[in-house]
Amino acid sequence: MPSKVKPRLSRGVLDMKFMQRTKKKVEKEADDEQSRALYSNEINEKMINSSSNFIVESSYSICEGLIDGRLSFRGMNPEIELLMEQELAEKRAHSKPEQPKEVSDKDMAKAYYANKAPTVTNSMAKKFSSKKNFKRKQHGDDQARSPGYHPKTKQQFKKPREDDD
Amino acid sequence: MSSSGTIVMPGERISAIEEVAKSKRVILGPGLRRLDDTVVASKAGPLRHKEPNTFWVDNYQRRYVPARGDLVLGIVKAKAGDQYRVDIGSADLASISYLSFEAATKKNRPDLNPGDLIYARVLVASADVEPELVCVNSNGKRGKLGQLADGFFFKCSLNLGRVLLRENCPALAALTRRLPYEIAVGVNGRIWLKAHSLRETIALTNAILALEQAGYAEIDKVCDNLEDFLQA
Amino acid sequence: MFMNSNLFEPGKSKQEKQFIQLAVKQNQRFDGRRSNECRDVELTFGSDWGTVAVSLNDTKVLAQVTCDMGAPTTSRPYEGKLQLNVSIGGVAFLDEMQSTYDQRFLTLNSQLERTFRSSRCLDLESLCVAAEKHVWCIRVDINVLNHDGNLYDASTIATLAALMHFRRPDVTYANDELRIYTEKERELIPLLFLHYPVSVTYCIYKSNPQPLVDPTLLEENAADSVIVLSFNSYQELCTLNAGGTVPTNVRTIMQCARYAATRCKAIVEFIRKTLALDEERRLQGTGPSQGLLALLGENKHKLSFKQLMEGYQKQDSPTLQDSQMEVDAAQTSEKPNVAEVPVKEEQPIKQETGKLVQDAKPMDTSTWLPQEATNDQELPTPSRVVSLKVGKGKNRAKNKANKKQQQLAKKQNHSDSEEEVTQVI
Repeated sequence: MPSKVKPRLSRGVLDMKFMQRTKKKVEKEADDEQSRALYSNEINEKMINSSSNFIVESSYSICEGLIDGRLSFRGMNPEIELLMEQELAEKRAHSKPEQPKEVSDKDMAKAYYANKAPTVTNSMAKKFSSKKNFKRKQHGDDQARSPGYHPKTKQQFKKPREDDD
Repeated sequence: MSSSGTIVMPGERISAIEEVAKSKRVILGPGLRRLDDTVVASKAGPLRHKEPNTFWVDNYQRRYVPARGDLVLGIVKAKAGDQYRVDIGSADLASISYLSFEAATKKNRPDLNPGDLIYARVLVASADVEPELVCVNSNGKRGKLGQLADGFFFKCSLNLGRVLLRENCPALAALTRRLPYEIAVGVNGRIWLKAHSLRETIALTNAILALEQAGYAEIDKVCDNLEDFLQA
Repeated sequence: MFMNSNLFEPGKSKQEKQFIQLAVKQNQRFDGRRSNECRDVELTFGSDWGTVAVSLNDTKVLAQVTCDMGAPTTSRPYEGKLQLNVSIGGVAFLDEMQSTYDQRFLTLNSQLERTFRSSRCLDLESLCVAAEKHVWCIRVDINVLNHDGNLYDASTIATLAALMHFRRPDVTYANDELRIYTEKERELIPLLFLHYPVSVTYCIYKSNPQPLVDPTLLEENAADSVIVLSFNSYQELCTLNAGGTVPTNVRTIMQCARYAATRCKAIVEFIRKTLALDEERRLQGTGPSQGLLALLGENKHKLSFKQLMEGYQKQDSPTLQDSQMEVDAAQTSEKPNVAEVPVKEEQPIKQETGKLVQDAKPMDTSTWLPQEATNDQELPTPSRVVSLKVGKGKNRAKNKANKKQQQLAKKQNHSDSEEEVTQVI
């Protein structure tokens, strides 16, 4: 007797400790099905499939971009005026994304190389590199480019993904 | 913001917005409704548009309809359990919990009594539930919200409240050229004012109410005359 | 025009109350008026007889008078009926408690009832067509269109003006048959008055002994007590309504009463002038405003108290003769066919008014300064009045009214009308 009902996991199985995630998933599915059955005569195909381009916003203050209405002028309430200034400063920072640079990027790079920065970096790098790397450095980079060479990456423990069973 | 002069009536279909909506997302503000793919006005007034994609109807109204995120002025009406009942001019009284004030705990309650005035933000607004207010921001700081002491309080149309709150609205700046003052304007058409003396407060009140008759375009002109009000 | 910033009941927050108290203390009012200064009264007559719109700035009241034949009550078979219908619903008190609304409605209604019905300002017997069978029922519909304080004054002025403006059709009763003539057949007949009452409202605050006249809604709501006084054109007190929590002293009430008496007289005078002007316009055929909108909108038919009565006070004080002449002229020109009763009264009254104006003259200059020196003897002993002072009770007010009337009567020479009024009250 072939049953039309989808095969389901028994409750006993679902109650097992390692089946907790599956249990949640199954419950959610059942809920969805129920609600779909409830509203099935009101929701039509169009409503499910159409993606609307409209966002409804009922607040005038958001639509018009109104300011906060609490204001103080000429030292009536220093506390409020401080807040107003802060807000103004924040807004300025937003509206002016990049401040004009005193030294251009090109000049900066030029100055960097002119000061022989690369040599400095090399000597500093040597100081921090380990012995193994040091050896490899001495052999040169040619080995690394050869096809048979596999740089030994450090083995790391990877966390299992959340949605894996 | 473009103040295009198209006046829409309730029930009128607005195809201009539908056109825009075909290519990009559109924000429908108050006074507009979506019925499937058509946009219909639900209030009468000039249709406004703000770049890039916001539309709303700027109708004349005095009754406040709460909307999430609005800053409003409310009068405390009563204490009810661990809540205050606050009149914000909407159909329902709003509620605000004792705990949504700065540094309030179960033991350390804010000292508010019926008749007091608070400046608060609307947290929950829905047609079916009474509105809920808060007097702190997300960091638990009071910022500009909280109780308003002294001063004078009056009501105006919602439009005037909004006009005053527009960025770069010249009115408030024009007034401060004459007098120092402190003000709290609620989107619900309520204004609280505090100046150094009684005379000044009365003058400022009358000056602000004089703006009620002015359209946004005439505001500059009226602002020039505001000084007459202040002198009177 | 109907821009009333006070749409949602002002004066309910602590701030407003405190502020108003403070303002009163410093003798400041929001519209820049002085404490004894009234708002301008504007009257517009409709095309129908007995239709009047009154506005005190933002307070707007519409009164309409209609008449109908009906049966008299069994207790008063020889008198017509006067019915006052107040409707306050035109003003949406949106966030107002129902109880406040009811209270406001009731006080206004009872105020009007007492001012016009209990004081018997209309000669109801003249409205009787056939005793015990047919009498005229006069119905006044008072519609409050906008409320910015002082509904009492606006309504009483509107009611009085409407009643004075109204004309009823002529009627004959013969052989058990009632015949009402149309306007074309016989001329319409104005109503007969015994006296012309109008009210004046004061607000009293704890912070300042000086009362404010003609309060706005904000001032009214923030007030600690409200006093309404009705006087008729002969400066007789008709009603007094004092409620609230302020211990009002005799002096304050007497001050109010004195000012109110002159004010009421001026208002009645103003209504007479407007009626005369309206008559003129009707004769000239420059038809009065048609429809409600025309009635309420800005139009050239609007008659303003300040404009019409500009010279009133000034004329009065320097030469009394002139003002008397004017009163004469106004009265005779305006109601040639008003029955004898008021006309007869005119002789003694004119003398009185002259005298009273003289009395009032120093008051205008030093409006609120104590004036007791001359009148102290006439005042009842303070303790007696104090016991009467606070209380909304009809009886108390009436008692007070009686006493006041007697004083006034003592002060003036007796005239028929006064006796009549005192008897009734």
